[in-house]
Amino acid sequence: MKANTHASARRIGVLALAGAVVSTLLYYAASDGFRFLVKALLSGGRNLMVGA
Amino acid sequence: MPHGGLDALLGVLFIGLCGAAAAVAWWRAGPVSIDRWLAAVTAFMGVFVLAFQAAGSVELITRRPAVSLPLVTAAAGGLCAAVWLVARTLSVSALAERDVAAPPPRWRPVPALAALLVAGGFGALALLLAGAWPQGFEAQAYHVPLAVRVLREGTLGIWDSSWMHAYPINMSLWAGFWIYLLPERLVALANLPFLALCAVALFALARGAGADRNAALLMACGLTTIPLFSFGALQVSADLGGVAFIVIAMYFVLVQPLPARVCAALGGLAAGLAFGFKSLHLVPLGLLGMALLFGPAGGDRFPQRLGTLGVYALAALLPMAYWLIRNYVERGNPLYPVFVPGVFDWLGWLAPADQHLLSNTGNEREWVSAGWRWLLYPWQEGHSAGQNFKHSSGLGPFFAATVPVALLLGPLAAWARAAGEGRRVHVQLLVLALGILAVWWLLGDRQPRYFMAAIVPLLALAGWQLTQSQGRLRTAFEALLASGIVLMLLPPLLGQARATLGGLTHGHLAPRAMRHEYPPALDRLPAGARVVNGYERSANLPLMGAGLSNRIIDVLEARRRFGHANGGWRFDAAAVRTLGVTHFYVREGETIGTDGCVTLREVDALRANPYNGKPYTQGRVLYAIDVCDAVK
Repeated sequence: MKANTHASARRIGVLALAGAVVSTLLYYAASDGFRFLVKALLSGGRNLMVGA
Repeated sequence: MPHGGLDALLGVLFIGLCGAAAAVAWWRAGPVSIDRWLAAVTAFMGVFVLAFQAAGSVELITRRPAVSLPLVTAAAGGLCAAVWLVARTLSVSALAERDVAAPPPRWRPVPALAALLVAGGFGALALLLAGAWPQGFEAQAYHVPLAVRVLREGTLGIWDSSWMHAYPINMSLWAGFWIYLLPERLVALANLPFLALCAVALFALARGAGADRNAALLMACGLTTIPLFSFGALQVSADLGGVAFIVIAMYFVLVQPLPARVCAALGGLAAGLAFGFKSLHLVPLGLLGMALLFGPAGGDRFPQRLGTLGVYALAALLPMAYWLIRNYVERGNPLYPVFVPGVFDWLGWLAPADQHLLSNTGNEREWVSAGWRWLLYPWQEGHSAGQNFKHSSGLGPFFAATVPVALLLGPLAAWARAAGEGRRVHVQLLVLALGILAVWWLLGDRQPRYFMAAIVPLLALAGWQLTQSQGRLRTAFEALLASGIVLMLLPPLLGQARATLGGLTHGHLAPRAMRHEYPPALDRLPAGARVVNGYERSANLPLMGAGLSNRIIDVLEARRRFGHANGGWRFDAAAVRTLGVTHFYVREGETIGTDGCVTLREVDALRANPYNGKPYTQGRVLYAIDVCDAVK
């Protein structure tokens, strides 16, 4: 029983990593906010607004 | 600000008394370090807030301004003694029964490096902030103006008739204390400690949910770089304080590191403090109460659970009661401006005339173009064209890698966990997060700011999920998260560097008038000046002037008093005299009428951007208001 639980938890760990990779890739590929952020960073922070 | 040597002495004494209460809580809160720290912080803030509220209660009873540093310090002394007496009744031996964990595993390289970079990044941000001025729309519109008002005018009363000025103001008490004693620039730092507290509380919660130290550390670091949190820490706003204390409440109530009733007391006090920062934390506060009543946290038998719930409710009411009574006395509704039709009608509680909080369905447009697009968030962050990147522009790669995955895998992970303490905490954190999300979803007010308190328990669960991966997979997982953390450290750093250093001339930082872009004459107005803000809400703090001595009539109140039905402004001598108005600040070109007895004289104006000299479309003009002798 304990071994099963242990194995299930391990599988969750692998699934979480897979989910994190897919989710992050999707984010980098599809997010307009991220694309804008990259442009803002490359311009030296011109379009970054703190305190808004 | 009217401060001198005696005020400085009292200020040190006041903080010392809050610190003494924290030390007592630290000493009596069992053998585990994190429990001690969280109990100490809760006691510190409890005494801090309750001392101000004690002085505010004198004001409520006498109907005269009574909030002063001597009275607040005396109240803190009494509260400190009360904390000591309560703490003495707790049996340390009972608290010490909890096993101290086995020697912790070594820090792994990736989380340790991420922690060092985050610490360094926020250290640099602290230096940059120390050279800035308190910033942020809400900070300038009301958090800091209300803060200045507390000790300058000696009042915790509601500022004016605008609905948003009637919320509890724990953040303004915090900022108000510091702005009374320290230079205004340094108060820009006031929110950073609450970001650190959010991170520490998440670390504790993740450990309670079964994450190992390294995973908990990585989650805590990641939290600080989600723009909603990192950009929020650069402003004097109430979000982070509220989140920090509601997460502390989650830790004590759901993880139960100490005897049940001690946890209920500490959790209740923390939840009540969270309400005082943001009253929307009434939602998790209620959900935690239900967890005590219906879940295993409250005890084995129902009467025992009722008792634990009673302790929690009483402790929560302690820092909430003043705000509830004040709002009932001043607005006829303890939760004003919150209004639930039907129930509140039946109770005879009044609705705000100027706002319907259940109709804020348009707020989500700042984040998504349509409600269903939340299902694609954060993978499709809809950035509004032409806007700058700010706190609401996205949640970043660390969020994308953790929170949605924790939410999707949460039920599966709970099923996979061995029955017992770990699964119990896991299920309750998941239900709590889903409950908070569901409430705001159903209300239609879907601003991520409102469900920040749901992000934290989901990150605690993500910490447990990270803990389950081992070997190279674990290192790869950590590297993926750390890369997102490091990337998202850059936006606040670069943004704040530009904001602080942008006005640097001849080695000097931008003066206040330049930073806020207002006519410098505002810094030299005579004592007792009362300025009508006809410009915009965020001008309230700038218009107070460099000495924070000008009194302000907020633009919403100004429109009610002096706004013309067809646009523009109209000043009547009687109203000007009654309110003691001396100056008017407005966009150039707006129509201004008078009753013939009032005359307006231009004192100063700003017609070009002081940073680059470009003319404004509409200048900003400061008028002096004179009333004819017949009325004077």
